Amino acid sequence: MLWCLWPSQRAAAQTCNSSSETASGVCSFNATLSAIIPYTAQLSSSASETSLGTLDRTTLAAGSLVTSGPTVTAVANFAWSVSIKAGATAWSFTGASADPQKPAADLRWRVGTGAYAALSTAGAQVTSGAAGSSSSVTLTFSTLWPWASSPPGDYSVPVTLTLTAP
Amino acid sequence: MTRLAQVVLAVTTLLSAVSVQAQTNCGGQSTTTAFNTAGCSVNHSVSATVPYLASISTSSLAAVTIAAPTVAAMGGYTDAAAGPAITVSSNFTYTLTASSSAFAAVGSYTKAKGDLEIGTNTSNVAPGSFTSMGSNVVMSSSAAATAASTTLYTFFRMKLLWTTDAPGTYSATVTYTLTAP
Repeated sequence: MLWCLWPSQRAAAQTCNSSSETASGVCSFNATLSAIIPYTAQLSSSASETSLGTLDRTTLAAGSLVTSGPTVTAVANFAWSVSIKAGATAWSFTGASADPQKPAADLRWRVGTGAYAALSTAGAQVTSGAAGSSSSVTLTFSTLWPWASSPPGDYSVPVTLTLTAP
Repeated sequence: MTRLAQVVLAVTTLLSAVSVQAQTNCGGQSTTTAFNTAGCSVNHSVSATVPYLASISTSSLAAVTIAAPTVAAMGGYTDAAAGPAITVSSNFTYTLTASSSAFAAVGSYTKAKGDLEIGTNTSNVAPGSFTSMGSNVVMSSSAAATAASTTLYTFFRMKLLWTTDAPGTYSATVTYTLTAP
């Protein structure tokens, strides 16, 4: 954050011939200060990655896995909102089998006890705040893992959190 | 700043550094449009490792009893008896086989394990054909992982021989095995 403050007139030594000069020898000048405060915000995540670890039969039998996600904290000097979106339409996959093209929407998220929403590349609002307010919300992920479309391998999906001014 | 305040600040800074793994400072624009165009994002990823996973279960572990044959059946086969239903779930292409142990001896006679035959069906109806269990029997070959579990119903019958099958109780153990090709 870089704010600049400066006087509108130089404060160099001057010969005092102002009308404010008085008989007592006091000489004064008016100097105007101006400050430019731009749109400023800070957005943070408590973790850069949420690892679901190595899944087991129980997870595939249940069809989904619920995991605590990152805590997202935002503050801005203007009214703001934070959205979440997928960085790709499908999970990346590394394995011996053909890429199942696991949809990004298999990752569902929610804040608190709300309903889960499927992750999309379009983005959806996670939280919002008024100017000057700071807010922290913790995401919960519920990921779908069906038997048929979860071949052995490593999976990853990029998620982007974005703060915007409405 | 007092010494105490310095310590508190230092601790607070340390805690912040531990709890925040991704942070971005944004700004410098004079309009919302310019701010939004510049962007203010943090990246996150969700990852997982899925190993080879499978589940195989039987509807029952109780012994299957083949009804005692009639005279007319001797030289042929017993009636088919329903065995357990085998249910498989897998996240990879698999092969399901069944194998039989040798029959337990009846007196000094050991009936050939190939005299036990197995048949399978996707519905709970005896199939039209049976396969000798003299060697491993492939029940399902290169079966693809499916959205739901797959169930196979098993049926057994026994070959009857006048000359060798002495009266007695014949028993064998059948093992079901799932493998990745």
